Amino acid sequence: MKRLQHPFAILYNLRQFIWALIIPLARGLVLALSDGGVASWLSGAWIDLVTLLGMLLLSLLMWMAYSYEVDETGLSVRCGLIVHTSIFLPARQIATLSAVHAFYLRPFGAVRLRADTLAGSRERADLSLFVSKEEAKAILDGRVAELRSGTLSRRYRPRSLYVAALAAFSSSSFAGMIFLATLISRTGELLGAEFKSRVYGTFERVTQLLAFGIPPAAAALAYILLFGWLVAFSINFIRHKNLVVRRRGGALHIRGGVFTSREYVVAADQLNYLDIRQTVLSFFLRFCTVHINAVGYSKYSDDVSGVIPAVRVRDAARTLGLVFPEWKPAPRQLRHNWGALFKFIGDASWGCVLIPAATFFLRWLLPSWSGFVGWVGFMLCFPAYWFLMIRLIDYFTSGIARDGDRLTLHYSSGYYLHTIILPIDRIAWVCLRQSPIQAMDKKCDVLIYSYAEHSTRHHIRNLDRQAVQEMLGLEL
Amino acid sequence: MIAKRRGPFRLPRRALLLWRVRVTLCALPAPVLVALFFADSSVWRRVLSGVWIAAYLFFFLFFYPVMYRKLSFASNGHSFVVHCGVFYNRIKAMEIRNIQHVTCTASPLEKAMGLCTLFVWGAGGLIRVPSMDAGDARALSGGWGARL
Repeated sequence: MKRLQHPFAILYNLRQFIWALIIPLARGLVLALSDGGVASWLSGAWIDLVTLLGMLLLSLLMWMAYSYEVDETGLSVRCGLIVHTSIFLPARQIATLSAVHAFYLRPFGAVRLRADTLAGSRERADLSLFVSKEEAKAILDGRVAELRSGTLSRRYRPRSLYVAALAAFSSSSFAGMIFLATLISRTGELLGAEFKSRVYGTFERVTQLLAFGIPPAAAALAYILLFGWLVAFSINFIRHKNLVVRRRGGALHIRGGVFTSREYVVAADQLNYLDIRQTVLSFFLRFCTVHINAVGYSKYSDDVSGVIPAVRVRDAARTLGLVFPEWKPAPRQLRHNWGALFKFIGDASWGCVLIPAATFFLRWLLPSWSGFVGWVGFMLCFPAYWFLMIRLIDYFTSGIARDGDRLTLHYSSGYYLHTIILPIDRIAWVCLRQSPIQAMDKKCDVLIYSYAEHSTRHHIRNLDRQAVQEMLGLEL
Repeated sequence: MIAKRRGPFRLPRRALLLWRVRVTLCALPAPVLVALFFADSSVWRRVLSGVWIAAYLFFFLFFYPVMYRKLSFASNGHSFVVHCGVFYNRIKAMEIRNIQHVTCTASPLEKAMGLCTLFVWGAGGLIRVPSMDAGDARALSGGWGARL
């Protein structure tokens, strides 16, 4: 049965016609410049009203022209006023169906439903529409019932402490800083420039008070990073609070969030890979987090990202077995030779040498900035040496294993250690890369590109080429 | 030939000829531009002439011959494998069931020499084989069920 979207879509469609507001704005500007007066402005207000009514009418027509139908074969949508479009997503191709209960939609009783397949844009869901809460529940329950086969039924609900750990490990100071800066700037635009100057002035006074002998500019930088991290941590914690993961046969049902509740139904056979992730800190604390890679899951920056937020390494196999019993990490079978140390720490060492050298040089060159440069150089050394530490841990842990039709890849990327469990049929293509020095040693770097909307590369360093070819069946 | 054998197959000799002709055509404007813009400065003229001549000889005598010698490809019923690279050796492999589609493009020079560049598109990746024999490209992709 064809249905129309939730009426909230009429308001949402208005954003496409925001350009039409230029008519009343231009009229107001012309009148202001010509000194026409309030009476003159009012006499032409009908133009503004007509423009706004026109926008509303177009939004309403777009809403009436947009209909959808959901059944066991798939999801079909018809839309378009002038150019009619029909879209059909077969049920077997839908990897992820998600429902976002945003706090601003709750007063309207609306939910944003998204459906995603392997094709289409990697930045946006293939289909996105507004439905009522009851309709969203019925569609998601129907999807779970479709995918549910077999008797497997498990539920995992992590403790708040583990959610806080995930938020702590995955928070970025820069993301928090950008959010805070945007918030202050936008609020300043609404409340006036005085608000902005008060906030920045207060920050400046607090920084000077709490500088503790450090140059105030450097202290300001450090506090900005700290506040940024705190903001990002709070956002991540709120996003992942109330996380529940349910496995029912072939359906993975994930729900999380406080103010905005997000719900996902992922087809278990459409998972691309499982990613067990650690940072340096979590490695030494013997914790890890588990993420899944599936089309449509964790696509947007405000989506729920992990499925198991934090678990002790010794409990990881048991917890994975609860929700993902068919996904078992295998111990390393192929690993690099011990002489490959420089291959791992070579590029990480550059920062560790160049940053202190540049700091000493700049302090000699600019003696009046010596304190600031010294402090900033000291702070910049932290990420450089942190990266070196990750690479050292990678040197002791990286490798590949094969267990039937699944590969387990151990490697590092950026500031994370990854253990990837990847089905062989989810490999898009493989590249074995040999430098001239590796050619003499008969070693190679293995680059595995996994099957997804966009290419995801897994890079394992310095393995024996012949052994890799035998393991992956690349001998010709 | 390709339809009956597994491989590995090499590119035809005229592929190397094509690349050399291409680099020669690209290098032709260089002396003209140097003479035009640096007529008054003999030092710059000599330096830039040395640079373009060195670059041309590098590609003509070293880069393309090595690339030609190292490039080979093979296909069984399971996967398509390409060996390539100049400074770094690369083996690129894609399972045949992951191949989404295949395209073949030919520049006017390639067309005149009966060559084409094969692009094999997978979900999340692309493998490119430059300057293949056009007949071989058709036979190879035909074996995968694609028609070119």
